[in-house]
Amino acid sequence: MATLEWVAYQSEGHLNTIKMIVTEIKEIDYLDCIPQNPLQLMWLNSLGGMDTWVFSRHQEFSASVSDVDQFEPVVNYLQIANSNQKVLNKELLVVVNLGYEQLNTQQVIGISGVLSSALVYAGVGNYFVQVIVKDGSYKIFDTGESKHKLEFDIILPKQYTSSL
Amino acid sequence: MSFLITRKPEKLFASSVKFSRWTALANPYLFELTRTDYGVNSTGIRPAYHPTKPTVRTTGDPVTVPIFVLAGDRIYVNSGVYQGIYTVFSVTNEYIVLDTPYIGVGGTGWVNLVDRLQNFKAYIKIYDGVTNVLIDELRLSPDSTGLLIADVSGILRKQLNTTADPTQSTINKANKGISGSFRIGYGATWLYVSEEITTDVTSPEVIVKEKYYWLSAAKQIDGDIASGMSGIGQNLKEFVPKNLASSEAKFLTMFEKPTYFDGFPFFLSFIYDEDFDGITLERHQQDADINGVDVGAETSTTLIVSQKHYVNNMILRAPNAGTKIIKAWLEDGPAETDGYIGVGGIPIGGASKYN
Repeated sequence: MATLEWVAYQSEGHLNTIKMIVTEIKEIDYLDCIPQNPLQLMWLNSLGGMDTWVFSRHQEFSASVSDVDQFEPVVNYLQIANSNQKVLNKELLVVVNLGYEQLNTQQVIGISGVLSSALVYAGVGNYFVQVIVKDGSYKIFDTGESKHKLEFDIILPKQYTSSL
Repeated sequence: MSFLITRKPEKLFASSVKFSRWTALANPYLFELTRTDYGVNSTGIRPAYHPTKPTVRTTGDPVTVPIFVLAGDRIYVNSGVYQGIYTVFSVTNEYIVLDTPYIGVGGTGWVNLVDRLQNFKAYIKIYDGVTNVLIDELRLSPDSTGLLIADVSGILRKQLNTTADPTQSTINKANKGISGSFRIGYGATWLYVSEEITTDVTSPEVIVKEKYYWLSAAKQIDGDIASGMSGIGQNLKEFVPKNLASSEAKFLTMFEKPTYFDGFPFFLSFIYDEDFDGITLERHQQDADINGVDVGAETSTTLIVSQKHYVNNMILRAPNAGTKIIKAWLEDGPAETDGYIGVGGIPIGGASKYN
């Protein structure tokens, strides 16, 4: 067979007619009902892949507000002054408490990977923002139970605030 | 005189000549190098040189005979029961008598000239696996036995750029910020001290032809002796697909059974290895209902080959109605080509096929 014909023969896949499965066969649960009030997290797991979960319950939004800087202005006339302390800037962090119940053990192990991930995205509307899992101590699961509950906090990107 | 890599961060697949060269970057990325000034055939009593003291027979060739040691020099010997730094009693061509009591026969090994070759330093260069641009260089000294364990993970971590694209719409996409490849080059410098002169010597750089791969992953202490002790470092062999019938590479997920929520992005991540250069990979998918009964036919879709040599994120096709379980896997596909080539025709993008 001429070289060119041989290449053509190869290109048609004749040398690879017995195809091989080269990975595990992965089973994936498919949930076709959209969770109520969903918030999706996607994170870089410790194997270097991306894992995801859509949380549907126990979302509690809270804001952590703190003063970045304050100063005391010089008060020349106490008679007409209305303050002796000024705030230059405020910091606003939005913390979301996420939880999920009725998880089986492999699910809770998979989701717990988010707690130690350095790269976590949260789906907000039609786009993703990078978020941080709040420092803390979280219960993962109890071997005496078949179903588990996982709850933790994430911090959304810091809100920009106006300043003086 | 040689300075060679003696253990590499790679693991062999059974019944093949294929290696996994992927290592988790959160762990040390190690190469073992060994300085060997002269090889040793054996050590024992050789009455022609000394009746009671052990004589080392080196593998000095005609170029290096007599070898560069003198009586009174200190040398490191690795020859069976003789392990350590000894003083040379006498030298005759390639035979070195050690000034130490005879304790038995010593086997093959090596000798390093502690006094004659001083200030021995290895240089290890790391090149980008795609551009061949030098990333950085390490300079390290072997220990007294000539052994050097070099950890290049610190250099490679400079390449990390942890981003991903959660909105990916193509079937597969390389995650280049968290994976990549490199080549290693190495050599050594030392000071050769003779009776007359002192000379700076630099050995030519040796560039290892294989590419090595890193991934922003962390392996844990697991006591899994069955995975084998070959190579060095934290290899990701169990996650590396190969074009082998026995390949059962795992996907890069912490879920035993991940969940795909309808309407939300979902990925299966995998290592797209160099073993599929020239061969396509296909995503296969079979949907099933709650009882595990097939819903629709198995489908296959060819992956984008330009994304290989990185960790890839792969999306799934939209499941058929009634699906509750999706089975997904990868199979090797036809040879990588951009079209049918007729006799006398010119292949599209297939120039390399003629090489």
